[in-house]
Amino acid sequence: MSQPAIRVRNLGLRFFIRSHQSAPTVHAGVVKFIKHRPAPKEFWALRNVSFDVPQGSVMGIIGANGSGKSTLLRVLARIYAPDEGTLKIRGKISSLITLGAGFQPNLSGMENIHYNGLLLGLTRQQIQEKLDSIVEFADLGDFINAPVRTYSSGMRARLGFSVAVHVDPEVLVVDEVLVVGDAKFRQKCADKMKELFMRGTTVAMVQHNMEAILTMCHQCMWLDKGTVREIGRPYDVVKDYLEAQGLPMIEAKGGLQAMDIPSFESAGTSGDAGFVAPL
Amino acid sequence: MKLIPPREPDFVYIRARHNRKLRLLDFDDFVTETGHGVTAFFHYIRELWERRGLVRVLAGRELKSNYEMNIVGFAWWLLEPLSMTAVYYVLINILSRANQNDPTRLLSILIAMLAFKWLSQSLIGSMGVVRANASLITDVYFPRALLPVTQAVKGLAHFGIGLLIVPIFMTILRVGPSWALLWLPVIISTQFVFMIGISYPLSVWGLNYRNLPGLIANLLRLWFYLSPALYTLEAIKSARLRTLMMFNPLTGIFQGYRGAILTHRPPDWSLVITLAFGLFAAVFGGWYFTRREPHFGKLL
Repeated sequence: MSQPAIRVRNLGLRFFIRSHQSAPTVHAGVVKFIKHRPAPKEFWALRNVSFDVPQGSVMGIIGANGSGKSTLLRVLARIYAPDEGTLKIRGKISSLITLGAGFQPNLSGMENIHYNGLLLGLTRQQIQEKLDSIVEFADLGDFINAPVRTYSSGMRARLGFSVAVHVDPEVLVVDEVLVVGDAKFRQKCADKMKELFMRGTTVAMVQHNMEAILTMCHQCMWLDKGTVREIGRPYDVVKDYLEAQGLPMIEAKGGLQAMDIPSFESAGTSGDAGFVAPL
Repeated sequence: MKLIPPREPDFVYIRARHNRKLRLLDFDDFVTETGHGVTAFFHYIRELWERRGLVRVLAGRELKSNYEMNIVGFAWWLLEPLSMTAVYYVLINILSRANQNDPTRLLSILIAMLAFKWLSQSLIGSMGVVRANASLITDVYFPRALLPVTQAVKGLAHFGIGLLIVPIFMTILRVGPSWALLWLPVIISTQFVFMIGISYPLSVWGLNYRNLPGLIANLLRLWFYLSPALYTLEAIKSARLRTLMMFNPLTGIFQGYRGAILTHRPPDWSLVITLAFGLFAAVFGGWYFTRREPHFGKLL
């Protein structure tokens, strides 16, 4: 019955390591064409990544720096298209990869809400409806009418977060952006995230905070050098991950039971979830 | 290459703790599915249409930052076409025989200059538009095909203001208005489609080759001289050459504007050729753009 909201099969993404720094010139291109220089070295940032995220569940992604976590999120957020493999996402997707993407420093906070909202896929009408809620959540006081260049980085992040969570996505992709603002706002963010989870939003998030993985995620994926090292219960994966780093397992207070998790009928996916062998 | 399989479908163990039903999404609701086929292209076009509101915002942002939206800023844009018109007018009057002088030629050149300025500025702008919006492209998804359109829309705003000075010249030169003016929206739309079509491949290549704008600017200038902008199509004596020039997409545009404003004639077949060329370029250029678009993030 329930289809996976995110389905990734044998996904691969490659970058070309270019010797020159900026884009080549036309004459350089002509010379290259004549001389037949070897193709630039390729680097597979992701290879053979396969997983499913059932509707309404939270997938945590862990791994060392440079293991392809953020790249994977960018693929999910459609910023990069996969070079091999397939990706299916069901539902409206929103990403919290960089907060306040494309904020215009010279426009006021209010104008930037409109601008950012349109960028994230809201319609003009939806923005009007949600405007009060966004402003209230960002809680910037009179600064909302001041140009964004006068904002502190924390304020900017608050505004960005506020707009992003009001997109009401069905699939949400989160990079480690929850660690913004002061303690009070962080709590507010956590509450808001929880609310989104409760609403049945499917989430894929990158976390370095193992405790958050244990308490918030239904599944956990360990990426290593662009491939999946392990997918499974958060507890097992985190344990193996920490073991591999020579660190002791941490104790999570409460674990999954501490949080309200939406009812979640994904038994039907077990048939689909059979992982296909790489071609 | 080895794929480590999951231990079991782990998500099953957290089932049914609340009775809250999950929202069921429609099967039609695929937002993302990787693919390159015709279906994907049509999906893309639909999405493009849904997100069209962005064009206004992105174009408005550039206009605002360039000119603070005041009239002086737009007058500044007019400076180049006006001065070039003066130069060409004097030059042509010197070069041609005195008895052929025709003051309305000034208006003829001015209209062509305005249209060409819109065209060249938007095309050259479209080559840098991907890099100019690098931070947006690496952070959020939106149909990137909107970006070249913003350049054309931005130029259209300029061109629209530029057209406002045309009535002044019409009054001075005693050129009366006529019903042919009603063709203007048609001609403007045709030019718009044509520009969009060309700007798609250009914006891809402009990202790949950083000095392309300089080259294209010169080619455009050459194209301008080869098109009936400073002269009229009727002034060409050779009938064969005239037929040949009908197939120049810029001919339809320049002749169209001149007919609507100056000579009170509806556009001829050359405008249809322009439109056909523009639609062809828009479909294939757009298709090419959607194929290249996923790699933009990596190239920036």
